[in-house]
Amino acid sequence: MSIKSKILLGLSLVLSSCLTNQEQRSPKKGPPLQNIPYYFPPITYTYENNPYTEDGFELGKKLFFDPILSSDSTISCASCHKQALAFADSPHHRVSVGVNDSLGTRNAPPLTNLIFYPSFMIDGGIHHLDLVPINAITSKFEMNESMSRVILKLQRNKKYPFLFKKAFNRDTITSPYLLYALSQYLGRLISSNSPYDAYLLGNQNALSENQKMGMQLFQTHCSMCHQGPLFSNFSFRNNGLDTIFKDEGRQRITELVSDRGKFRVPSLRNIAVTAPYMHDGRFFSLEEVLLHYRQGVKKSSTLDSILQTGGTLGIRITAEESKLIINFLHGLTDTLFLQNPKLGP
Amino acid sequence: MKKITTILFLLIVLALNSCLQDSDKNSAVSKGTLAIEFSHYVGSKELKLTATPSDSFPYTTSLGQKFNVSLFGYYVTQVALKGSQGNLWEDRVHTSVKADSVSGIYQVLETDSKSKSLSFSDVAPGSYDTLILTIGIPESIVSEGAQGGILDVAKGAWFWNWNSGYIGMAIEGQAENSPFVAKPGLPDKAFQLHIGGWKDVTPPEGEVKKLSNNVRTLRLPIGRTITVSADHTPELHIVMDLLKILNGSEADFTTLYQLHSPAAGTKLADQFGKAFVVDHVH
Repeated sequence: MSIKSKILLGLSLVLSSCLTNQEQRSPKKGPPLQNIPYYFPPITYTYENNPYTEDGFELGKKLFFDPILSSDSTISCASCHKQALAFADSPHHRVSVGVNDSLGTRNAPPLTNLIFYPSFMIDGGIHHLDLVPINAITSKFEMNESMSRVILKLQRNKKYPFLFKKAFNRDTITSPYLLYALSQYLGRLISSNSPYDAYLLGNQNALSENQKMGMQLFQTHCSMCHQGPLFSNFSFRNNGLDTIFKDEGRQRITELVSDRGKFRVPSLRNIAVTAPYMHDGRFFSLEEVLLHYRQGVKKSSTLDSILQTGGTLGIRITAEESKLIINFLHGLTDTLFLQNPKLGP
Repeated sequence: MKKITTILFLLIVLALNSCLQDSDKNSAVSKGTLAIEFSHYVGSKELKLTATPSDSFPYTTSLGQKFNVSLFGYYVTQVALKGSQGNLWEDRVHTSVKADSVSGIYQVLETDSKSKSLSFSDVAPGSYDTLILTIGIPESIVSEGAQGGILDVAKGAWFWNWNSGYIGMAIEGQAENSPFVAKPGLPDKAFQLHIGGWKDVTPPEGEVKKLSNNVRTLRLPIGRTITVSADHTPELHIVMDLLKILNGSEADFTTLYQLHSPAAGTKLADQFGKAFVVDHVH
């Protein structure tokens, strides 16, 4: 090695150690995941704060399936968020059942592709994935537990202190690490392997001819709101369910009458397995949902303008077209995701 | 050969030096200390907490409504000093899930006299005439997700979970004409004014911007120029007058007695700038 190259090597070593140091101080937001389709939106989750690790994921998964999070140790996250149903609740549960058989007020949503969401809950009240589980844990209709008692129970548990140490290298368990672990698991609930995805990636035969016709109709009639690869533009809309609103929806967050009865446009991925539908689970089938849009839309001051164009309420589609759209929606079911053993207990 | 080794040595020293300077710019300059002391008043009376339920209502608003206070506190962050020459010192705000890494976020509680004295030991020496501080926890902090230490939700942080964010200031007590009827944990005539809301974020497509941001950054004139140096520690005494918030917002306890969402808190938050005053300097 020449002296010159020694100098260069020495300098570059010094400089590179300097650079790594800086990078460590401000880590870049980078995709922590493999195999996200190119057409998916950018990740919103702050992985730079909570980098993905296998240990963190496994801990989050254990917590997700563990009723220790509820006050009487009867309810786990998985009680109302079932993998086979894209992490939604059973079809016969309009609203879910919490501790002491108490009933919630809203239908348990599926949990998929959350790291791409701009906000959470059907009223958009929560701005960060980490903070979502606090609601389920502390709601008296759900787990009815306090965050401080959960931490105490985990700390006293035989296994958890070790698992938190392994995942986060901390000697004591604190709530942000509980939330980080859950986010690591929830973040991996990514559904991107439906027949529709295969079609987008070039397999012309992944969707049937009927489904392709349904897709065309869907694009014409539904994609103004159910937009993009996640089938939601995440806006808040009144889709004409009621004239009097038992649930004020988005108004609860913005405190504006003009948001009364508006709810976030839901993603439609795996929609065929996440019945019942709407914020209160009032429809048990996609047929009922489509029938609502054809014939059931009710007028109110906040009704979306898209659902009352030309003075007619609803979406102008025929019964036959509805069938084709439903056919297409079945093409959004990601069987690999619903059965992925890595996501199960 | 010797020459080249010397050059190599010098270059490495230079590189290392620039590297060090980069990571800790003012390490060579000795730092000064600043102390801030908060005192809470209700008009001309010093705030004294009342154990509720109580029949005692020591304070009166400009609407003639009598009340007591059982709990009072607020978050303070982004503390800074500004000089007339444009010089600025900023307290280091660092959020983290690690409780011991959190810095620059404080909760001032009437019940905890220690919390009313803040001390900053790394102030850049210089002359300053303005104190800057933020009441409430701003977007830059809440958007980072789960937090440890003073903002740990399992350790009593003041947090709204359904409309996620922290309560910037809480005023609780009883008011003679609050219509509140006792519930477990709360007495008759209770009032709870929780001023929160930070969302000022870009709304999703199809939505107009309409959320209430009640976090307030205050620029308080110190009233004279203070000098911070290694051997001179000024102590700024801040007087915060609760009546300025209640009277300034025309708070009426007959209608405003349970405040737990952002919108109605805005008119109270708008008074923070008048309620906090640098009273004197020691």
